Amino acid sequence: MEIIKDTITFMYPNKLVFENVEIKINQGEIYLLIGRNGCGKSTLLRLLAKIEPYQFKLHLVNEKEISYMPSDLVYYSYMKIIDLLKFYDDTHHNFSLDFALKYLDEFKLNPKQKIKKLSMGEQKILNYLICLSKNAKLYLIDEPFPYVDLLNDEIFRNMIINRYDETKTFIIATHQINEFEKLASYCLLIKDYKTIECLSTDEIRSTVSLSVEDYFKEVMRYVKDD
Amino acid sequence: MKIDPNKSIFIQLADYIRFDIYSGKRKPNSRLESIRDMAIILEVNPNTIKRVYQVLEEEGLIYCHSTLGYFVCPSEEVIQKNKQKYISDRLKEFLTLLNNCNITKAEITKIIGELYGDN
Repeated sequence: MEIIKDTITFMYPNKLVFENVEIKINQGEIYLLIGRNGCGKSTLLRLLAKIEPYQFKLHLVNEKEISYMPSDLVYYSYMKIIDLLKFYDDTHHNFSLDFALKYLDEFKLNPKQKIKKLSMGEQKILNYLICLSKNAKLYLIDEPFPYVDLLNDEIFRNMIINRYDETKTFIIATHQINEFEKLASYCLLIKDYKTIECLSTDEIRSTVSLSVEDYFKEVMRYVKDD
Repeated sequence: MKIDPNKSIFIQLADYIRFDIYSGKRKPNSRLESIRDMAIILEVNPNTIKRVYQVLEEEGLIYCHSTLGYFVCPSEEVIQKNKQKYISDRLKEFLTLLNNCNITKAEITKIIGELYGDN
């Protein structure tokens, strides 16, 4: 079942990002969104999250069921983690405080810690924790991995699998493809402003015997030479 | 289990469970991990595990209980039959490949003998 099937054209005041690009997203899949710097990964997520004024037609998901994690979110630094979580619990009907506290513990973060005392990686974890603590239908996660250490990556993937069911769709934009490729069923590859390819990750592995990361490198090198 | 990112995860997982059953590591009628647990252990997409379970179920190697989840086939006989079919299928594929090298059966059996350390 498709939740999105659309053709997008979008531009910022002085930059064309997408021109007549077809995009199709199926329900219940985990997508990896990949592409080179500045190709429009974050923009695509912002469009899907309806932060940019663009009317995507969503099926099976309503706007309140989108959980979006921007790549550069900054919280009020004087707040404590627990206050922030309680704030979300009070203001978001689908926020699960239990889920958040459970994983906060796994990440070994102290709820009483002030946000300004957190390291970059810990702040990233907090963003991510809040994004996944919402019980949504469409999760849009923008570059979750920089600054996060390897063991925390693992918890991070567990969280996604724990959240996953057949009605939920995840789109994860990242450069660290190898961290995520086992988890993803499809990858959306932004080639240029006119093409977004949607490929099954297992098909890449079995037809060309390359990991998604190696495949991506091959393809993008070719695009550059063209 | 170590997953090779250059090969189909689906095939690797199916073989992994298959070999556990063939080798007796997973006993007849023993319970398999739930789809979610398996996905968490191996850190792979739950849909892939589901597809693997479905294919193994179609082959009769495992069965699905409506509430308790998936179990290994109770019949040793079915497992052995499945194992032989699997092995002969794989060998067939390999022999087709070898045919391209223009090699005789005698030569192949000789190499196999050597590999097994026979004199």
